[in-house]
Amino acid sequence: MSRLVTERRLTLLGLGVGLLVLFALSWYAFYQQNLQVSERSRFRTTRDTIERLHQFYTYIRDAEAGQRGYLLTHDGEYLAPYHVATEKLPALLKTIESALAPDPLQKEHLGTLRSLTDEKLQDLRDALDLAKTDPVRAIGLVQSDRGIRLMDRLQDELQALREREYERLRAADLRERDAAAHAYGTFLGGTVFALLLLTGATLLVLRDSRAKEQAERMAIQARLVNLAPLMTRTMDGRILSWGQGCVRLYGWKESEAVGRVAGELLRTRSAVPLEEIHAALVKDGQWAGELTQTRHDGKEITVAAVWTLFKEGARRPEAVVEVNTDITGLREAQEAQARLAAIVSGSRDAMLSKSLDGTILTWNHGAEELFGYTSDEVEGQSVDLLVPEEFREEERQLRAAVLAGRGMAQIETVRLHKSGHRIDVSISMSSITDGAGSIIGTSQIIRDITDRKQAQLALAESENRFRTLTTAIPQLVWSCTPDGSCDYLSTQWLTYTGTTLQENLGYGWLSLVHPDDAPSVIEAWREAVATGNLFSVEYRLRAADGNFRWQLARAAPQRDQSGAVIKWFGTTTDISSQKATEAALERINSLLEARGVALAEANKELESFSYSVSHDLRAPLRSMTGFAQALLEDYGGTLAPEAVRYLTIISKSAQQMGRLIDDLLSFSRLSRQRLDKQPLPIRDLVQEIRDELHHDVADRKIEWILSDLPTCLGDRTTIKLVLANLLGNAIKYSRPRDVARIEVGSEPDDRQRGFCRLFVKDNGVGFDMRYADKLFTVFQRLHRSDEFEGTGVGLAIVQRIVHRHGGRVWGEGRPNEGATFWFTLEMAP
Amino acid sequence: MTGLAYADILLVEDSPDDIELTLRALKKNNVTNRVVVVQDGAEALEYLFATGRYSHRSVANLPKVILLDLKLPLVSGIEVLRRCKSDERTRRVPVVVLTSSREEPDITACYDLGVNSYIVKPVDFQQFIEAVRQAGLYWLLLNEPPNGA
Repeated sequence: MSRLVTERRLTLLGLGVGLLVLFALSWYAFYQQNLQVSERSRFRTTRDTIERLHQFYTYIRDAEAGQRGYLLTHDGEYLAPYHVATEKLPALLKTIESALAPDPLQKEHLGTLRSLTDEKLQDLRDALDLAKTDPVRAIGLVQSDRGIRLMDRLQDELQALREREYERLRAADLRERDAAAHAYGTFLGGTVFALLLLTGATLLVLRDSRAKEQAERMAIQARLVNLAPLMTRTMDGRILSWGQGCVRLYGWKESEAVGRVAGELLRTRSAVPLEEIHAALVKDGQWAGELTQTRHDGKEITVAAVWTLFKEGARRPEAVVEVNTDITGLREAQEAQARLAAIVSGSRDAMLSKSLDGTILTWNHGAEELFGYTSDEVEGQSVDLLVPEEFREEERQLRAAVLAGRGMAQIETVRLHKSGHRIDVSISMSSITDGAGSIIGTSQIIRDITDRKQAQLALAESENRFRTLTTAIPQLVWSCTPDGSCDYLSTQWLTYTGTTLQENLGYGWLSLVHPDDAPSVIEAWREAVATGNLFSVEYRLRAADGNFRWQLARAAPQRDQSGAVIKWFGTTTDISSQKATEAALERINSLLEARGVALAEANKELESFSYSVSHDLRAPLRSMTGFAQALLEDYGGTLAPEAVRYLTIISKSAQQMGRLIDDLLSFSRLSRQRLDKQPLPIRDLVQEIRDELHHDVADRKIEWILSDLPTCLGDRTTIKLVLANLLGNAIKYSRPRDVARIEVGSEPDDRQRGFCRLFVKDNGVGFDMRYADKLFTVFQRLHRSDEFEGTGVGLAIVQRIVHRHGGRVWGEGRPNEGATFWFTLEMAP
Repeated sequence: MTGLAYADILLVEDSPDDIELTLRALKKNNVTNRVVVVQDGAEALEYLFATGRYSHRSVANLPKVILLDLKLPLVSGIEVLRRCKSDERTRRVPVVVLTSSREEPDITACYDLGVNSYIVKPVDFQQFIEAVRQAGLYWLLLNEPPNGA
């Protein structure tokens, strides 16, 4: 405190002395000024005197020059300067005398000057006076040297006077210069001194106020520090001090916190391990970061922590100062904002914001996807870029409506893609306000509704289709609510039954069901509604004409995504004609069944008949041939030739009958035999048959022509039998020819798809086409047995096999010009 | 020939004509072995298993071959074949079936039961002789049966 007092005294002293010096300086300046003024006045007087001395001499000379001019010319005009000079000179002399009076040194010269002047003027006047009387003498006077001498003396005197005055001037000048130099030095020194004093005083004053301010500031800071969430702790975490801010932040009182380990008390957690934080703190002297801590009440908070090592001079850190600021709200707000930003940027909907005049400001990823423009391309552009010409007015109106404060507006409209194609969109527009609540722009959420539009169109179309269908189809269409109550019936139903819609709705339609059928219909419907299964029932419905007709009613439930039935759709179809057909069919079926049984019996009989035929009919024939043979062998030598011939006939007849029986049996067997269809290379089959027949035709000359033969689909055994029969016939009936010519070939069939026509052509005896229809009949022959052997079964077998393969068979021929037999057969794929 | 205790060939045939023709066909094929003829299936079984009329026989004296007609009185040829082939004592005796035509649905059954050969009795006697020859009776008679009976 005493220092402060001393400083204040010094300040006052400095101020006082400074002011005094300044006062003295101004007085001195005044004094100097006065001094200088009088000096200047003297100086001016001296200078004037010098001027007058010059004037004086000029007057005298003028007077003399005028007097002489007059004397010589007697022209009065010359006397004008003389008169002026004589008139002025006395006054001038007086002025000079008064000016020089204070100077005793000048007194003598002044006296001389007066006398000389008087003398001169007297001379001049005398000459003039004389000139009036005696001009020549007057001129003589002038021409004497007295005038010149007088003038020289006058000039000398004047010169002396002037010299003296010049001297004074020089002295005054010197004095003045000294005085100025002195004053300058005094001023400079004084001013500097005063300024120094004042500056020092001011500094002291300033210092004084600053110290006060600092004291105040420190007091405030102390209070603030106490308010701040600040704590100090030892290096190992023990809390040393606990500010008010910490009490507020954490809810722990100072008494509860001090002495505890901070990390444990606050359950501090961090993304970075606490050891690393500690290491950073020791290394850098400070650490800042985010921590999660728990308050006394158990609530978790996020804090921005700034930890500083505290060392007072010493090298080892003494404590850590922790300032932890609660940023939970901030973090949450940031997260909320980040979520919002993520929603905006991640949204599949286009989101954009515009200024008041429609300039696009922001543009999210969804907008890029929807419109094809990147944000760089559109930001700063007018939103009209996206709006087709004819929708711009709509857009402006919408914007105006939103801006007029009508909140949010939503429309479905059309926008343009970058590529120029149009997109059906729904737009939600809302205003954007700044913090102060004034509208600064609009935002739009734009959703592509092309699919929805199409779906709507498709739905409308489908609905229309459904309506059209219900009126177009012969069925009666209806629908029911999930509980089974009828809520729709097509007009067909009403027309068919001659009833009104009202009569049928709900369960009204049941009154149209035949009383005998009603219980089963009700039961079936109840079960379908209860289980959600397909409803299908036949019943008789009363038509408009009063007759009951059979109907097939079917209904299926329509379900929502959860599987719950939301509607039943049903149709009712008139099946009365179908019912009649069914009844007829049933009758026919039972008839057929009976026939089938009979047929099976007949077949069985036929089989046993065949069995008997092959066994019992052949046995006697065998005996006939056998014993005829035995007779011939044992007694041939003793028999007459005629007897031998008879025996031979008996034997041959029996053999012929055996063949007949065999052929007949194999023919009847054909219809029972199962066909095993497989690919058959026809050429191979023909070759096989030729090899087998080889023995029989050893003595024949046969020219074979086998053209390109296809692979067909058929049962190998029976098709081979067909070919064997046809080839056998060809060989047989061409026997009369020296060279038989037999051709086997094929061509595509023009009547049956996928079939070919095979033919066997010979140059034999041919046949008359008039009997062509008998060719394929059993036991029918076009030739006599003694001409060509045979049983008349071969072609019947051929026909049966070909028919069983789904083919056709026919023959062409002319008597003696050969025959061609054709049959069709499926080609192998 | 009835009553013979021993035979090389057992002919089971009901038709007297066929019996005669068969024997003649065998002779034509130079088969001269002893033949026992039985005229129905029942008798054939009695002979084979030494029962009834043939109880004096020994089952061990088996024929070297059996010629068996299928259409027989009392017990059918199929049944005889089945019994013969299913008995351990007789199943190794070769059986040649004689039949009137290919028509018979029993042919398959015969093969299933293990018939050794099959002769169709044709109407033509010459062909019959040929068929007997092809049946390889000669070799059947020449070869000793596996069990040495």
